[in-house]
Amino acid sequence: MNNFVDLQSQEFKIDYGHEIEIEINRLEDLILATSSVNSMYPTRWLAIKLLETDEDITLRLRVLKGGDGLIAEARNSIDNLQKLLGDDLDVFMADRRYGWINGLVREIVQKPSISRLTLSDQIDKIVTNRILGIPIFLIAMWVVFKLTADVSAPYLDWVDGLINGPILRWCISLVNLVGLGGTWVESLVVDGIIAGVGGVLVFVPVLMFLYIALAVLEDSGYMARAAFVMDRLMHALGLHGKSFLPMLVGFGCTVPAIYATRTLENKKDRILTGLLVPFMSCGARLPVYVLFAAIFFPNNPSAVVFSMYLLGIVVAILLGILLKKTLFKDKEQSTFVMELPPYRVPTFRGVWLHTWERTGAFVRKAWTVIMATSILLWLLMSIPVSGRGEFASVDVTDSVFASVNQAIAPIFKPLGFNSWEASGALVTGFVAKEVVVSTMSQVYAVDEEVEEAVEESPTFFEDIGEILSSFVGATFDTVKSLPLIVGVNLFDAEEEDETTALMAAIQNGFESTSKGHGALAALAFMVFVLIYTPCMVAIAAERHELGMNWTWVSIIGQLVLAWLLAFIVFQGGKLLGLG
Amino acid sequence: MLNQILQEIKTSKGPMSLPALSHKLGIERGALEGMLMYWVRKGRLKEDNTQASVVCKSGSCGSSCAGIENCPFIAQMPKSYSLRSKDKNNVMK
Repeated sequence: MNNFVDLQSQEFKIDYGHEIEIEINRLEDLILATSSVNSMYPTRWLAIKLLETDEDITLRLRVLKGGDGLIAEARNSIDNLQKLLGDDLDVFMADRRYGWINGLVREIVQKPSISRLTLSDQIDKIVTNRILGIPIFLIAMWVVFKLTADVSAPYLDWVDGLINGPILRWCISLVNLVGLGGTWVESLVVDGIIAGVGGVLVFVPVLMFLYIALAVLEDSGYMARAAFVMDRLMHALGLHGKSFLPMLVGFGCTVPAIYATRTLENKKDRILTGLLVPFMSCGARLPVYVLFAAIFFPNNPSAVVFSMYLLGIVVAILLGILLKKTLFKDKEQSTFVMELPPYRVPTFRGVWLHTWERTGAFVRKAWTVIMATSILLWLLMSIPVSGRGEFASVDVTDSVFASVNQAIAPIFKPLGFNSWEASGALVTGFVAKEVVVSTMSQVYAVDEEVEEAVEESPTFFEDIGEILSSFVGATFDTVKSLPLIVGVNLFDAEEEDETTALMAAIQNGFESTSKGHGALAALAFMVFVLIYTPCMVAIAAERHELGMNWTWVSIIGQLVLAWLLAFIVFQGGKLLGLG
Repeated sequence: MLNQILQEIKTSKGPMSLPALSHKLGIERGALEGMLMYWVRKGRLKEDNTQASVVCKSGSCGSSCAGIENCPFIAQMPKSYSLRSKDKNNVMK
C-alpha cells in the first residue's frame, strides 16, 4: 500500500493515484492562496470535496470571496481527469477509498481460521442451493397445507356444530320471541344470514392455521429465502427475477399483490406480472378447496388442496413463459442482489399478532361483504318466478336466482357441473371468492339441519356447557391430528366418518350432473375456481395498475383458460378412466 | 471495486444474495452494503422494498383492509438492489 501514516501528526492520506494527486496538489495551492477559505477548512480535504463536486461545500464556497474561482478551477480539473480516466471522477475516488478500507481491514483484522460463515449462512447453503432450494420450498408448502387441511379439521367441525347448533337455535328462539317466527324474517335469518355468513365462518379455523403457518415461515426468515429461490427459477425460465415477490403476496390476497408489481421498474414486466398474480391462489379460495376436498377426496384432502396451489404456480409460470416469448418480448434480462435477513426463532407473540390481524380481516369481510351478498342472494332466492310460490317460502328451484343461473348452467355441461347451484356459486364468486362457499350453503339449503337444531332444544346453560366441552374435545383432537403432517393417523375410521347433510347434498348434486363422475367434476370445479376471474376488488386494482384494456384481457383470458383447464381435467379424466 | 459490483450484477445469471456477492468479490459484507448504498445514491442502482407503504396506494383494498400500517397481507420482504434501466447496457465504459 502506498499510503502514508504519520503517527506523530496523526494524519493519513489515501493515495488516489498519480493523476488525481497532481490535481489535488494544484487545488491545495490555490486554496492556500485564497485567504477567505484557507483558514476555514483543511486544504487537502477541501480539494477532494471540490473534485467530488460536493453540493454542500459548493454552496458554502459560493458566498466566500474567491470561492467561485476555486469552483471553476476544480471544474477544469474534473474535466481533465475524466478524459484521462474515462469514468466519473467521484466514482473513481470512492472506489479508491473503499479499496483502501478493504485492504486495511484485511491487514489488521484477525479472523478465526474456522469457517467465517454464520449459522444463517450455513443454513442458506442448503436452503438456497440451486438443486435443493425448490424441493425444500415444496416440502415447506406441503407441511403448511397438511397443517391447514388436516390439523384444523376438529376446530372446523366445532365451529360448524356451534353455528348450526346453539347459534341457530338461539336465533330462531329470538325471532319467535319477537313474534316473527314462521315469517320471512326467520327465513332471512336462517336461510340468508346464518347459512351464508355461517357457511364461511366455519372456515375461520382453516384460515387461522394457514396464517399461523405462514407467520412462522415469515418470522423465521424463511419466506425471504423462498422468494429468492423462486425468483432464481423465474430468471432461469426467462421471466423477471423479481416477479415472484408479488406472487408470494398473492397467496394472501390478490389485491396488494397487484399493487406490489410497482416494485418492477420495467412496464412490460409490471403488466406481465400483474396478469400472472391472480393465478396465485388467494386465501379466499381456500374454503372452496377444503370443502370440496373433504367431500370428494376424504382420504387425502391436503394433497388435493396442495395440488391446487401448485397448479396455480405452474399455470402462472407456463403462461408467463408463453407471454414473455410473444407479447412481452424483451431482450433485457435484469438481475438483482437481495439482502437475506438472519434466521431467527419465531416468537409466540409475533406469530399470534400476525395471525390475529389476518384472521380478523377475514372475519370483518364476512360481516360486511359476505353478509351483504348473502342477504341479496336470499332475496333473489325468495322471489318466485312466474308466479309460482310466495315470497320467502318459494321452492328455491322456482326462484329468480335459480332461473337466471339455469340459463348460464349449460356452459358448464362439458365440465361436469352444469347445475344452477354450481353456476350460481361461481357467479356470486365475483363479489368475493369466499361467497362461493356461502352460496353453496344457501342454495343447497338443507332443512334437516334446521329441523334437527330446533328439535333438540336444550337450555341455554346446557348449550354453553356443550360449547365448552366440545371446544376442549376439539382441542384434544387437534393435538391428535398433528401426526397427520407426517402421515400418521391416530383416528379411528368411525371418528373420521362425519359427513354433514350439506356435504351430502353437494356430493349428490355433482354426481348427478357428471353422471357418476362426481370427483372429477369437483376437481374441475376447483380448477375453475382457481383460474377464473378474481374478485371485483382485485379487478379494480388491475384496472388501476394495468389499465382498462389489459384488465379486459385478463378477465376474458382467465375465464377462457379456466373453462379450458376444467374441461381438460373432466373430459381427460373420464378418458383415462379416473374419478 | 465499485464498478466490479455493477459488472457482477449485470452479468450474473440470476438473483444473488448479499453474502454470495460478498464472498464472490472478496469484499466484507458491511463494506459491500455501503458500496451498494453508494450506487443507490448515485442513481445507478435501485433499492426496492416490498412494503405496504410502497405497495398500497390509498390504504384500502376492500372491506377487509386493515390500513397501510397494519396490512396483514404484505409479507415484509427484505431489500433488494437492481440496476436502473439506463445503466443495464452501460455499466463499464
